[in-house]
Formats: sequence, structure tokens, C-alpha cells
Amino acid sequence: MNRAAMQKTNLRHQSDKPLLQIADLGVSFPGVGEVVRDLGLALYPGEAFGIVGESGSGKSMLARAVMQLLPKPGKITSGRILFKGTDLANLKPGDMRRVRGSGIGMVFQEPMTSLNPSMTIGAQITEGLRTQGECSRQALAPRIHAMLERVRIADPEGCLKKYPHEFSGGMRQRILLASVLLMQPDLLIADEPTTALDAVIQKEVLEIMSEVTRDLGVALMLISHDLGAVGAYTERLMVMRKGELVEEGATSDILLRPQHPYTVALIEALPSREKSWRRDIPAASGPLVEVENLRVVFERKSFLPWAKPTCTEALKGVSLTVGRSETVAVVGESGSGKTTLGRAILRLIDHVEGDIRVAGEDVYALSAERLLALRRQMQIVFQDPYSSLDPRRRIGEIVSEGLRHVPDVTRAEYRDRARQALAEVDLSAEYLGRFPHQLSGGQRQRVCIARALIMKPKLIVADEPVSALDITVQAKILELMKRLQVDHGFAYLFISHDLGVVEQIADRVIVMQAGRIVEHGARDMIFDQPRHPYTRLLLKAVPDLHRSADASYRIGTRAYSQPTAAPDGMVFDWAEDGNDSGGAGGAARLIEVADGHFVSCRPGLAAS
Amino acid sequence: MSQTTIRLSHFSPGPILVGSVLLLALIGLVWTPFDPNALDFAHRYAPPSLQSLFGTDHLGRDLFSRILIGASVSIAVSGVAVCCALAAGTVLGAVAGFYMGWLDRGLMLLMDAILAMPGILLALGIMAVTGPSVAGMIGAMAITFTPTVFRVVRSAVLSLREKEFIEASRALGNRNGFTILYHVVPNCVAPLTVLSTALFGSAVLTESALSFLGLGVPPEIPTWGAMLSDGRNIFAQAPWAVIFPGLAISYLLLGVNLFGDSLRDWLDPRAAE
Amino acid sequence: MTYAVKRIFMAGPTLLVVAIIVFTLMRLIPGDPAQLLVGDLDDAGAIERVRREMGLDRPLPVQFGIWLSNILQGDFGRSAHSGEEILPTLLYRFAITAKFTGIALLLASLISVPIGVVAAWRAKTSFDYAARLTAIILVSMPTFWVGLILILVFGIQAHLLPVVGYVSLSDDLYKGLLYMIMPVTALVVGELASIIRMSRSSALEVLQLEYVAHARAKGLSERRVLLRHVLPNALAPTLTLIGITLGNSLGGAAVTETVFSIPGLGRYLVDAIYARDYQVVQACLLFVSFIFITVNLLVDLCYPLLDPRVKL
Repeated sequence: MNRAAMQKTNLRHQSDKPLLQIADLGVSFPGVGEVVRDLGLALYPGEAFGIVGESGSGKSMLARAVMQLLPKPGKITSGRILFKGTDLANLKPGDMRRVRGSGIGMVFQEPMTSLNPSMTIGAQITEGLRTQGECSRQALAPRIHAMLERVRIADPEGCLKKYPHEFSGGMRQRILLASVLLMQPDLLIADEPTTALDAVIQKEVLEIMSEVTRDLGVALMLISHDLGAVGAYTERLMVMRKGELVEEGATSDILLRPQHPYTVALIEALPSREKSWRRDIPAASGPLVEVENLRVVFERKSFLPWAKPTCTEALKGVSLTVGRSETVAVVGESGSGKTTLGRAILRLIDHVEGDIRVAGEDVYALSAERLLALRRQMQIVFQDPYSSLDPRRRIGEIVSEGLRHVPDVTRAEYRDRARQALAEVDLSAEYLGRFPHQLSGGQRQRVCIARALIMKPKLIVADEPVSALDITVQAKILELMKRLQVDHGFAYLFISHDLGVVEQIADRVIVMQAGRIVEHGARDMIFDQPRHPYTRLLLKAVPDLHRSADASYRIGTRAYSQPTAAPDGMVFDWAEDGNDSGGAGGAARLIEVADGHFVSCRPGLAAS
Repeated sequence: MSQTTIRLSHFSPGPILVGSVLLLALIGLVWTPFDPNALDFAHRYAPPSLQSLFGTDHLGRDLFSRILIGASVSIAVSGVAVCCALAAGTVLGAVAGFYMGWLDRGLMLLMDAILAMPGILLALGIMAVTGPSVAGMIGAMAITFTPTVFRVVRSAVLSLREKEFIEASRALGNRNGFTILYHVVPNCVAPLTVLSTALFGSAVLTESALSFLGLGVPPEIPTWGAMLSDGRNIFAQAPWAVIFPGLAISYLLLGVNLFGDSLRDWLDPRAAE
Repeated sequence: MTYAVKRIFMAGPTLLVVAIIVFTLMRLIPGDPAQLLVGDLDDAGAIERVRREMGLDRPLPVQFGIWLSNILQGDFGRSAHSGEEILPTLLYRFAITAKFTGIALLLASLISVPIGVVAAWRAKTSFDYAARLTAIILVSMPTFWVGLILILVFGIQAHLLPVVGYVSLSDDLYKGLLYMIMPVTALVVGELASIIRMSRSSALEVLQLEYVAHARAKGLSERRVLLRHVLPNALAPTLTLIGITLGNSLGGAAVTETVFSIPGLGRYLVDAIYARDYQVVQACLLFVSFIFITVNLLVDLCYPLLDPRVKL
């Protein structure tokens, strides 16, 4: 932020009274302890204030304490929460109810459960307004209509008669936003409002939220683990850790010159290209993985034996190669088929069409014995560190499980080998006897990596391996994965929706959308000169935080020049409005636009 | 289950109640104050006293002795029936859940059909075939309970199939048989333990209800249900002949239910930290 | 394929398998039904004639086919014992049983669903503990024993209520009701517990969902949160349980009706078993299963009313 803007902020601090002022707040759970400690903050009318923290930082509990919606048996143990001069901490339930909705509105995280499935949207919107004493449908209708239009709901009238399950996650969050803002609160608390959404939708919702609150003069408290998102949409922010305030100030100040070591660590943990690992890839001795024209169709059988099964085409003819010791990242939103691709290569899916060869052998045509031998060479690390470890097995058993199939390893050696594998992922031998639920998320993910590592694989398919982790843990796991690759020289097929992570780790990037590849090429090529409109949309949705030459940090969105033109005589097979122009009707195919850089296009219309 | 630590906060009287019934049943096997079947017409309809704790019935038989004997019968019959149902249901459920396809459909249809007949009614129908007998009783209850076990195991297997650690096991090259034994079955133990206490409770109930109707265990064996059936006829003269056998059933069931509740709390994965 | 059609289609095969099970079971009964019917052990000619009349000399699958097609035409055969047609008696007896079980289930649901929801809302308070403890004690008492104790206390000791028997409501409303009090109470006591537990646990689950927090964050009163947001969503799984409970109490009627000497379907079945009247036994088994399947079907068809995510 520039000097003038900073002065403006300071001026406001002197002139305005804070809308919400929290002092010495303590929240604790019996048996767990204090989750918020000695916390103070001041939030001014109309400003956008961000709270950033990792899991366990107490940021959500802080929000819920303000609303007096703490889950049982949580309690406010000390401090004051002054909202327009009233202390909410000691308010009677009846009085608190009048503050909720009309004074402070709240938007929750989970779009799938934040609307009541058994009530229409209209009923849920009006029931809140009725508590404010406005009962006539005629009086309410135009206001509701206007607000729904404001959050860009295409058909406000039809929307009111529908049930929540008829909407997508992004739509639901916007409806929720509208229903909360209709009650004209002075403050909107948004607790991880977009975490469960795809990046493009996430950006859209956050933009609408920040725009509408600004227009209506509603103060916004945006809570998130995502420093990038909070940084891009707030004026001031506060960093929390383990229930305590770490640092507070103007957003630009904190990003430019973080003072507290934890804030510095948080920012440094963000993935970036500067941290990518450059290493020597051995001279090509033929690709490790070759996938040609892979098609996967999932059939859902009808309960009637004679009825045709319903088919979903998860992959529509995908071809790719992964070289030895190479890191290939597959990027796409949910439903793009990226996970299916990883599973198919490991033959975890029963039926596919097309060719998959690993180390020259056709994965789907192998005998059981040869498959077993090949399986040792390719391993998988999953996203969810909670369901990828058998809860009833000890870590030692989990890590050494695969050794049963390694010839010449006796049972006596299992423990030693498991200990070695754990040591490689920086876990000491004392973990051998523990159970998965005794480990943290990051530790579990290390165990998953050790389980793969013990097989000495040539390929590791990593399916969103860091998505479920906190940012600082994520950075450590990525660092570990990098070191292991340098040490052992295996290849990664790295499946992720997170472009930041991909930018840091990938040698090559494959962008997928709706079961096909839209663009692929070397990492720098894709990030610096994306050609396909879909790739550009994805990239623009992610706030880009990078370190300047003077060691300060800046947040920006990736700016790309005007839409690129398709190669001569071709049109792109996808446009930002979601429509495929269809071109001359020819099949889409990948065209090489630069050395190793391919883009999916169709033959263009002859006239144009 | 070894990671399940028994915490004091989970203390429940259930195990104590069940344990005390088990102990009494064991004692009843070797010693009873009186011969449970000895007729003593001099002491018909004797009210509860120090000598005869629960009183005597219309034939002068000592009710306390009969309840002790009845305990071992009820527990043994119910226990064996539940074990049979567990074995059959687990095998069929695991096979159906893992292999799916036509086998699964066929088994599901059969089990749904059995479940579509109210439990006691099906047991009654089977007892109509076999006539009152211990083996018939066990068989009838085993058949009645198998579908419940089947459904629990099958759905557990189906949800486990989707778990990533099962996929990881396949990626390591393990065969289906190994994966079922090493990963699937141990994870079914928790739901099955909870289920078997519930089934044991309904077995005790079913057994006593059928014996009450005279269609369960043969009348010469003193069971709690049969004692209630006898007691019903001498209601006016000897209310204790109805009160005590019923209290015995309720006491055992209360223990089993409390035990099942605390088991559920321990084994609930959400309760684990 | 819509949900409703799917559910109706699935009930068909289940019923068929039930019919096969019931039929097989009855053919396994030791003894010759024709002989039982004739009664005279020496009259071989009469036995042979009856056997032919009843189709017992045909192969089993054919017998099954004939039996099933008769039933589909509403012909459940005749009682081997009294020679009466089964269906009219069956329906008459069922009407009595249905009255008792229906009223009991309705009362039990009306009492326990609110208790369950409030117990979940006030989880870990004394109300919650009291509700759970009561539920677990009630569920541990066999229904027929509760019936016996009620008779003992209110009938034999206090002389407040008629001990056993049945008076039709249409004959004498007051007396009929009087005779219903104890059986219905016994049934309600048995059913309360499971419904309380189910509605409590499903309400507990709903209470943790974000839409409840959202409803509160809108400033709604707790009453409205419970009535509009928690109750409807907790009701769906509870409704399924209520359907199953109805089936169980139809089965349990055999015992309860014996205790109170009610001439219902359960008593009809038990008497038929005593008399080895297997035509009646199989008719009863099949009929009750049919009712059970139909009730569960109806419950499932009601589901979309409570949960619009399930489409009819």
C-alpha cells in the first residue's frame, strides 16, 4: 500500500470509533484448554479485516465467540467483546439474538451443509428477515430480488422456489451471502467461505463478497488459512497462532515487512517458483510412463438387470509421457479426471481403453506375477492422510507391508527396513509402534511416503499429497519430497489443483479439463506464456505472491495480455463463457505451438 | 483394538451387571440352594423368605434355584445363537461386499426377505417346524439374526473398499484375500462387537418370549420365559413367580445394553483423539 | 428411473422370496397335513382324497405355483382345523392387532421424538442423562413382562382396570378403551426407548451441521431453530426406525396378545401353531410380512417429503 493510503487508514483510526472491539478475550474448552488467549482487536466500520492462521490457531473459535455460537462445551472465560458499545460476552440470549443477523451476519465454510436441505431458498431467506419485523411478502420481494441479482444469481425468482441441493457450491455460498446481507448487518464474518471451492469459483465468490460489502458499507471480517486470499481482499489483517495474536497491521505492511518470525515463516512457506528444485535429469533412455489415448468410462449399473448402465466418461482419450526422474504435474479442477488418470496408471481401475506402458510393459496386459514385479516400481501417495492409513495397524506394520512381495527380504529385516524408511522421512524409530491416530497430519503423510519409499519405486503418483496440510507443514513435506527425489531419482506424477505448489515442483505441467488435456508443456512455458483460455482462467484465479528483489513480498494477480490467438487456421476448443465454438466441427487435438508446448484446438472455420 | 484405552470417564456399570449374571449362572451350574425341579407340595406358594429367597411356585419348586439354572440356559442359548449368526453373517457379508455382482444381489435379496419378516415371527415359524427344542431355538435365532450381521459387515466392507488404505494395499501388490484378512476384517471388529451385544440382548428377549409361549426351549428345562409362563397362571396366589423371573431378564438386559453403550463409546472412531 | 418406481420394483422380488421361505418352512413341518385334517389315522382312502384335493400329490414347485396364484386371487385356503376360509378371519383378526399396534406406535412416537430432540439439544445435561437412563431401563424390560406387571398392579391388586380380554370399540366405546389401556401402555413402554435413542442421535448429528449455526446466526429463536431446522431433518432416519418398530410390534403381537388374551392376529398364529394348522400359519406369516414390506415401502415413499434431495 502506498503512503497516501496508509495515512488514510491512520486517519480513520483516529476519527472513527471501532465497530467491534475485542479486549483480553479468552475462550476455553474443558479438557482441551484455552483455544483463544488474551486476544484483542479493533475493527472499524466499513473496513475489510482479515484473520489468518493455520489449523488450531483459534481463528474460527474467535469468530464463533463473537456470535456466541461456540460449540459446546466451549466458554468465554475472560475479556470483552464490544460491538457498538455493547459487551456481547455478557449478553442475555434474547438480546444476543437481536445482534445476530441484524448486527453481525456470518457466512460459514461448508457450502454443502450451510443451507437447510429441507427448506426452499425463499423460506430460508425470508425467515431471517421476519425476525426483523418485516412480514409482508410484497414488501420483501423486491429487496430479495435486488440482492440476489447483486450476488449475480441469474434467475432470482426461480431460485427462491428451489432447494439447496439444486445449486452448486459456489452458487450456494452466494445465496448464503445474499441472505445474510439482506438483514443489513454492520459486520459480516466470513469463516473460510471459499475453502471448499475450486480456485476459479473461489475467486468469483470472494470478489462478489468484497465488492458488495464495500458498496453497502458493511465491515468484513474474512477468516482464512490462505494468506493469498486474505491478503488480496482485505485492508488490515491479523495473524493468529495457537490462540494468540502474532501480528496485526495494514495488509500491505505485513506482507511487505513481516515483523514476527512466525509471519515470516508463514510467508516463506508459500510455494513459489524460486524454491523449485533444479537438478540434472539423466539423459533420456526412453520414457518411464507412456500413456496413449487413455479412455476410462465408469458405468453405474441400473438396479434393473435389463436396463442400460449409465456411463460417465472420466477420461476422453488422454496421452502423455513421464520421463525417468522427471516431475510431471497434472493440474485441473474437481471433475477434470486427474485423479482417475493417476489411478489408471497404477492399474487401480479395473477397466480402461488405450495403452499404458510403464518401463516398457503394458500395465493392463501383464500376468499377475509380472504385475506384482511392476507394482513395486510404482507407488502412490494419497491426499487424505486420515483414510490412507489403516487405523488398526501400527506404523511399523504399515510401512513394511509391501516388503512381503520383495524377494530376499526376511521377516527379521522388516523392522530394520521400516526404520530406515522412517529415517528417510525424518521420523524416529519410536514411531514404529504407534498407531496412525496418534500422529499429526504431516507425520501421517510422511508415513505414506515411507510406505511408498520402502519399495524403492521408479515412479510415485502423488495425488494431492499436500492439499490437506497446513501451509508450513506443506512446505516441509514438499521439501522432503524434493530431497528424496534427488537422493533416489524416481519420477513424480504430481496431481494437484494448487497452481502455487505445481509452479514450485513441476518440470512439466499438464492442464486437464473435463477428462482431456487442454495444454501441456514445460513449467515456465505454461506459467509465463499460457496459450489456452482455460489455462489462463485457472492461472488468473490464483493470487500470486512473490518476493521482490528487495526481499519484500507482493501480492498480485497474474496479469496476462489480451487473449492469445489460436494457432493458424485453428480455434480453441473452449472459451471463458464455457461455450465451445465448435470450430469447423473437427475433433479437438493437441497442436504444438512451441518446443514441447501443446495446446488443444479444433480446426477453424474456413471463412475466418 | 489394542489402541483402545479404557478411560475412567467411560466407566459403566454394564460389565458389572453382566459379570454378576455370568457368575450366578456359573454357580447355578454346580450348586443351587434347592433342587430346581424338586416338588415340595408342603411349601406351595411360599412367599419370598430367607429360606427361599424368591419364594416357591404352585409345585413348591424353589424359584431362586430355578432362576439360577435358567440363567445358564438363557445365556448359553443366546450366546451360541449370536455366535452362529456372527459367523454366518460375517462370511456371507464379506464375500458379498467384496465380490459384488450377482452373488451379492442374490444374497441381498435373500437377506432382505428374511429381514422383511418380523424377527419373533420368523423364529416362531421355525419353531413351529422343529417343535420346542434347544437346537431349534438356537437355529431359529441364528437364522433370524444372520441378515443383520450380513448387512453390517457388507456395508462396512463396501465403505472400506473406498478407503485409500485399501487402494494403497492393492498398489503394494497385495491380493484380495490378504487385503480382506489384513485390513478389512480387523476394521469390522468394532462395529461387530457393538452389534453382537445388541443381538445378544434381543436373543435373550426372543428366547424368553418364545419359551413364554411354550414354543421355545422344552418345558422341562427351567428358563426365565417358561417360568413367566408358569407364573402367569398363578398370578393371584404367587405374584413373585412373575416378578422375579422378569426382573432377572431385565437385569441381564440392562447390563447388556449398558455394556453395549459403553462399548460403542470406546470404539467410536470419533471418540478417539 | 425414479426413486418411487425403484422402491416399488424392489419390493416385488423380496415378497416373492418371502413367499418361498414361508412355503418351504411349512412343508418342512413333520407330519402329513392331509392326515391331520382327516384325523382318522386308518382311513387311507379319505387321506388320499384330501391329499388330492389339496394338491399335495403334485411336485413341490407346482404346489407353490398353485398356492401363490390362489393367494394372488385372494384365496388363502381353508383352515385345516375349522374348515373356515382363512382370509376373512385373518382380516378381522388383523384389524384388532392393527388398532393396538397403531395407537401404541402413534403415542410412542408423539412422546419420544420430542424427548429425543430436546435431549440432543440439551446434550450432557441432567435432562439428557435422565432421558437416556429411562430409555435404557425401559428397553431392558420385556414387553410381555411389563404387561404382566401392569395386570398384577392395576388389575389384580388395585382392581382399576379389567384384567384380560377385549371389547370392540364399536360395541362399547368406554369399555373398549378401558380394555385397551394396559396393552397399549405395555407396547408404548417397549417402543419409547428405541425411538428416543434414534431421534436423539439423529438430532445430535443435525445440530452439528452448519445450517443450524447459520439459522442461529440469523438471529432465529431456539424454538424456531429446533422446529424448522433440526426436527424435520432429524425426522427422516427416525421415520425409518418407526416403520421397523411397527413390524416388530406386529411380530411381538403374538406374545402381547397372549398375555392380555386379545383375539388378534398374533393369537391367531400362536393358536394355529399349537393346533398344527399350517395353512393358517403360512397365511399369517405371509400376511404380516406383506404388511411389514408395505409399511416400509410407504415410509420410503414419504422420505422425499422430509428430504427433498431424494426425488420421487
